[in-house]
Amino acid sequence: MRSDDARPLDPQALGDHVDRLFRAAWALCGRREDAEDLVQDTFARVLAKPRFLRNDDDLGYLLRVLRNTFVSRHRSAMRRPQSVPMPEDLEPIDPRSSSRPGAAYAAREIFAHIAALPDEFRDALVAVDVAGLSYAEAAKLLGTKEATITSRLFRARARVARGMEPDRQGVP
Amino acid sequence: MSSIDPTSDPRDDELAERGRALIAAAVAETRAPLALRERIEADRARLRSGRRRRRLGVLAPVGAVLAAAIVAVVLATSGGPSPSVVATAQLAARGPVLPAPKHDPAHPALLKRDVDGVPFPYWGDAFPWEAVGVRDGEVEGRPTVTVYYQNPKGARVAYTIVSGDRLDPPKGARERTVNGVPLRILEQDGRRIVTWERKGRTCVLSAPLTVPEDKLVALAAWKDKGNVPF
Repeated sequence: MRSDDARPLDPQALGDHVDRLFRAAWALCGRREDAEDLVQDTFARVLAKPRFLRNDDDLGYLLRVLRNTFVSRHRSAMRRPQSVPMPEDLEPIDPRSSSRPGAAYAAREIFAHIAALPDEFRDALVAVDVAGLSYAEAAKLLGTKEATITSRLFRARARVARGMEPDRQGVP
Repeated sequence: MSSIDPTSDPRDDELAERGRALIAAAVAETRAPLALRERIEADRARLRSGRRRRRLGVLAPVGAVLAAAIVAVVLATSGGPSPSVVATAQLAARGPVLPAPKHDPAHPALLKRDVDGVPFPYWGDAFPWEAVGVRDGEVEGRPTVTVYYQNPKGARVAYTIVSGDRLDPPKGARERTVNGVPLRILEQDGRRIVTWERKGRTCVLSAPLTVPEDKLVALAAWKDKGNVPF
């Protein structure tokens, strides 16, 4: 049911948020290719029918849909029967060029470390440091208190830095 | 910040600050790829044209609307997946009757067999799945070609391309996008079925449930950097 003060979400304006959603998706999934699919699925969900929001927080809404899509995909992957493991590796190699390969490599490592954090740390980090929400917006998105966000952020940042130390590379 | 948890690690303040800086650098470096933007825009255009078609449908003569409504009710109440897609998978489950098509050396990602100009992929280099046979068939008056692929463990998948306009997407199928390709997935009669479109033709990949879904969708959405036409 749509309330009287609801306004329609403008599909044309959604493009402004693609970069932030993509970063958030990468930090959730840990793999760039999965992030692209997750963002595309998120937009497909949002665009499937007219949406109405009660506030101006388009990004918060999109992040909520992104996170829900990620969680439901993750859950259905867990529910799927893990039948007969096969030895072959079907992962196609898809190297991507970059004008700054070193920086791109570091970004890949950092997003992989974020994705490997415990869920509550990862979600706080994605909301604030990756997607750029305020502490208050992140608290609302994640249904917790600002103080909790502060604490989780602090620990999550420290864990990422620790994971990136030279002697711990590749150990998220 | 150290007041948050002073007992954890004396370096935590420094680590947290370094972590913040590292993450900020990664964020500044990262933009959504152009291909993703194009995929989203294509989805949006497809939805727009779908809505336009629906609006035109409203303006159609009353008789046509009634007829369409009756068809819609029949389809909606029949339940279960689309008969065409399931029939295609059932036909494919019968197995090959002809030798496998040859690899096309001029196009290393393709086999020398196509349906309406949509070629079958060659997976032998990228994956250990080799084409082992073919079956020509017909589903509801539409010619189909199925190529069977087998891996070294003996697992077999059937890849069918249906000639003509696309089939309706199956009801009750889960949607999943892989490598930018929107896929629909369902399980029916002990087989996992994945269906999607390539150049307007319906493709159906089916395999026993023992072939994991992630493997099946990776095969379905394999583009070999654009060498497999979609």
